Amino acid sequence: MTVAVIFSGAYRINEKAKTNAFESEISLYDTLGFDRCQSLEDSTVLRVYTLSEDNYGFIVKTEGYEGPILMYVTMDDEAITKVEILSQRETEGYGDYLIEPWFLKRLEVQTHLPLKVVKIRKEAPNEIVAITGATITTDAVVDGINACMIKRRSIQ
Amino acid sequence: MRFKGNKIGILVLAVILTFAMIGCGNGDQGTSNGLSYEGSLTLSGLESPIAIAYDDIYAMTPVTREVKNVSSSGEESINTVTGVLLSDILAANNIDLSQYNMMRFIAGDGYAIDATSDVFSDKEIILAYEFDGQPLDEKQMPLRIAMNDVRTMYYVSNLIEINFSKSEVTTAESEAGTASTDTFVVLETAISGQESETYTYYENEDQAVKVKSLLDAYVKSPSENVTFVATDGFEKSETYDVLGQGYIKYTGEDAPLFTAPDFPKGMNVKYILTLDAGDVTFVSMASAIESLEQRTIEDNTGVALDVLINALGLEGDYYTFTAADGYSAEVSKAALSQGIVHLNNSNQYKVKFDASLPKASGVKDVLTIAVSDGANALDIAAGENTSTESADSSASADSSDQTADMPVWTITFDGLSDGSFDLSSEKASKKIDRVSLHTERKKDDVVKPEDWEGYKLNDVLAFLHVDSYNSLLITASDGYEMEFTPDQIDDETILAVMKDGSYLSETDNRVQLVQNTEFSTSWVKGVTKITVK
Repeated sequence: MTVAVIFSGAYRINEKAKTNAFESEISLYDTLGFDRCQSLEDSTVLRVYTLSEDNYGFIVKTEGYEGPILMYVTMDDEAITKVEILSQRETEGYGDYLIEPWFLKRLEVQTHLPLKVVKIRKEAPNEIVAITGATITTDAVVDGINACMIKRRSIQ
Repeated sequence: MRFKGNKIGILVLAVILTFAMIGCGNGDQGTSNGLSYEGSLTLSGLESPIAIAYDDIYAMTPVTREVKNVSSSGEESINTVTGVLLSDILAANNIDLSQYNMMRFIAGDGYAIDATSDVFSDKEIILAYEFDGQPLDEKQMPLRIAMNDVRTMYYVSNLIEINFSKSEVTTAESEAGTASTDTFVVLETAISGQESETYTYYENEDQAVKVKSLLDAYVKSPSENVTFVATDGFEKSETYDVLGQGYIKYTGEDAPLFTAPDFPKGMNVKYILTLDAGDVTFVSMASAIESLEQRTIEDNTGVALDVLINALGLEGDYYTFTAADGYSAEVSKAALSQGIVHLNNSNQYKVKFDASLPKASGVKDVLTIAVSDGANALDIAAGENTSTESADSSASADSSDQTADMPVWTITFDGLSDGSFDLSSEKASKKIDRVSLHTERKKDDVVKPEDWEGYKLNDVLAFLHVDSYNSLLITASDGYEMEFTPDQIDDETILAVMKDGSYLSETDNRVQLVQNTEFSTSWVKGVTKITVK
């Protein structure tokens, strides 16, 4: 019992360390001077910025195959306009393709529907074809973007 | 005071941790190396499956070895691994490995790889729990296969099962890298007849076909285990069931590639050369041309036919090449050194021979390559003319020679199930037998005997896979049209290209529809189009 409590505490310390590890990335965006919607922020969507009218930026943390993935996502009323990977440590040769421009471009879609991961080919605007051999990583990225989309709807 | 309190806290924590570790080390579930993992490794395929607790494996006498593995990209890695020898586990359970010639290592995520006896027979197989002094990470636990001097694909992590079997694939076949069948199907030609799908592979949208559709179309007697051979000599076996769940991606990077979105990446096979699936072995001509010795014939460069046949392990005195449309040509083994398979301008693989063989020995859109009995060998017929069969073939070769001064013409066939088709004089001469027809038509009460040569219209329709129709609309070069019902088209209705020993050479009449009728009212000069209705 005592050991469990100790390890639970160690886990919390570890989580805090991870969040702290992202502070430098996040602080860069905080210094850009955009308005924050702090009431919408939580432990997943760490930042919600109003970039301009109907144009929002989000910093979102999601759990990948090897660890947390930190992303900056921008959206307007119609589409996901940009996705940047701020931090990741996905498996080399598998999930680390998530930083490739072709994959990030694949995420820039015009849709109001939650994104959905598919495996072979895209047949609807909200479908994202998984990185070959890295479905869990793709799921994580898409989950993060979907969390941002929910926040965007809350703003509207 | 506060500092002192923290020191006491750290001391208490250290004591608790020490007791906790001692407890783990000496408990019922613990092992002397401190490792513990819930569950057991299954050894299946035996008379009755055996389950061995991972903790019992951890408790066995360990070995430490330096092992080398080679990745699919050719990169070598050397690791120092610690674990338990599989041979020790088998000995403890009275299992004789020499009774089996294949093992399948199965991971918890579904990844599986077959190791044939030529891979493992002279090697120590280590069920490793430590690599380079580090314990396996969580996803690799509880055990990872390690062997010296093998491909990385055999280093199966998260090992949950080892299946033992007596495979149908013999070691001898495996060593030769060749198939056990006498018929090879050209993968690309076979694929062209299947429904293709867009398949996203990394950043590219490529084309792929379901393997199951290929197997259904060509394999009549599947084997339990199939074998891939890649252009670099890499071999991988797979179960027929797993094969049927995958795709062959035939365009873009790594093609031809065996893959599936739900397969672990290690199950992919890049640059497939052959796939032995039972009574049929598929061979990729793209891979063959890329990886085997090439030869050039009349500005066409392709894989040398004798080298290809040798690489495939086909052994016979005669070989028959058959096209997708059924046309076939048989040649002797000696002729192979005068032949190639190349990709022609129509994006089809073509068997081509040099001028020493009859032109009819060339086969476009080649689908199968098989050992045959020599009954219709074209080169023997042309060169030796020694038998009745070869005499028939000789006629075919002569007919081919006649094409030298043949006027060029094209008839467009419309209304076919797959659109339209242009039948050229060249294609007709190669694909359809020419026949003779004697007619005696009356004109002004005078009988005019004429000898025609041409192609039976029924043969042409059969060549175009026209099984039934309501009518045929024949259109001439001057726009004249005549419609025929099926009962008006008999075996003496021909598309004539010669009359009385000479080609029809007038610009507006190189093909004439002729029937064995008393009057020529149904004959059509200068046929340019036939519409199937």
